[in-house]
Amino acid sequence: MNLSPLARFVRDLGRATGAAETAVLGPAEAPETDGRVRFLAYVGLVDLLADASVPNDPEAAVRALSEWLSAVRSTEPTLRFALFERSSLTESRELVARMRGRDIALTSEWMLPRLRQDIEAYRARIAALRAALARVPEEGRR
Amino acid sequence: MTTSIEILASDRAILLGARPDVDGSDLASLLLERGRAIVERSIEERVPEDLPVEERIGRLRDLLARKAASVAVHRFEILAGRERALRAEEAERTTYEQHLELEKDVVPPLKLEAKALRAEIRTLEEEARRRGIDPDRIEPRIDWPNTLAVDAYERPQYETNESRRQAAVRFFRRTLRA
Repeated sequence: MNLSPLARFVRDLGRATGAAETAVLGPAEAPETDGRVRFLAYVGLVDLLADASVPNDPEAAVRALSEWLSAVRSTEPTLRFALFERSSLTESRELVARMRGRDIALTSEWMLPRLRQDIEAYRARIAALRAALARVPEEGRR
Repeated sequence: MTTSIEILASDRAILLGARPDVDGSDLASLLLERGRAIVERSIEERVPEDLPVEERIGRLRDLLARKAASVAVHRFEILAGRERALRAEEAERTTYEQHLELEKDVVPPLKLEAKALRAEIRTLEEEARRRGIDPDRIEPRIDWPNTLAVDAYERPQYETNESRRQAAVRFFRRTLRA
């Protein structure tokens, strides 16, 4: 089926598994934040696609626009949830990795050297105790 | 402020394919100009059927542009965030393996060795007292409060699929015998 450019764009909105290759447009004058600028650019992009896609017949135009709007509205909750879920998962993974990284650093840089130092001291103490015991025989062997 | 805008390359390709008349080198300014013009207009969520058809088309186009743009930004964030998600997954896996190696293969032998040596010191000190020697006069002494307390340490038991299977078999054997 030969879809119009806007119909293809609307269909692809629900596909958040495609290529993540991005294109950088610009430069442009924009006092807004990155997210806002991207939103405004997409508003413009959709409107330009509409110029090339909306049928000339007014009633057909209303039908097509209503269908696309309805398709976009039905896509939004799924995508919003997917975004929330993926960001939460990523953030929790980053948090776990950070916490574990601290734990690993604490173990490697503090606990292991302390344990090795303790073991060295224990061995020296044991050698000294054995030497002292060797100088004083057991009662039964006197 | 001069800025650049990042969008999905596939979206840019659809636009340039549909609008060969659009100048790709000045696309950012064109999109922003169009976008601002639409967003600055007051939004009408309702599109009553008794409105003149041209007005209905205008309202629908504005609504569609805003809504589709909002969804497109979500999709951009999901797809562009995939790189970060992969890095987070890798960091989580790597730190898990490092942590497991430390807690399974490196720390337990040292703690068990320290525990055994501490017990041996106590036995030897007891023996010294029994023979009339004051162990506190034997050097080097241990500064116990400054050592790591490992006397109650037990090696952690890590379950494997095989160990879980064997435990299940033992459980059912006991149950069947009873």
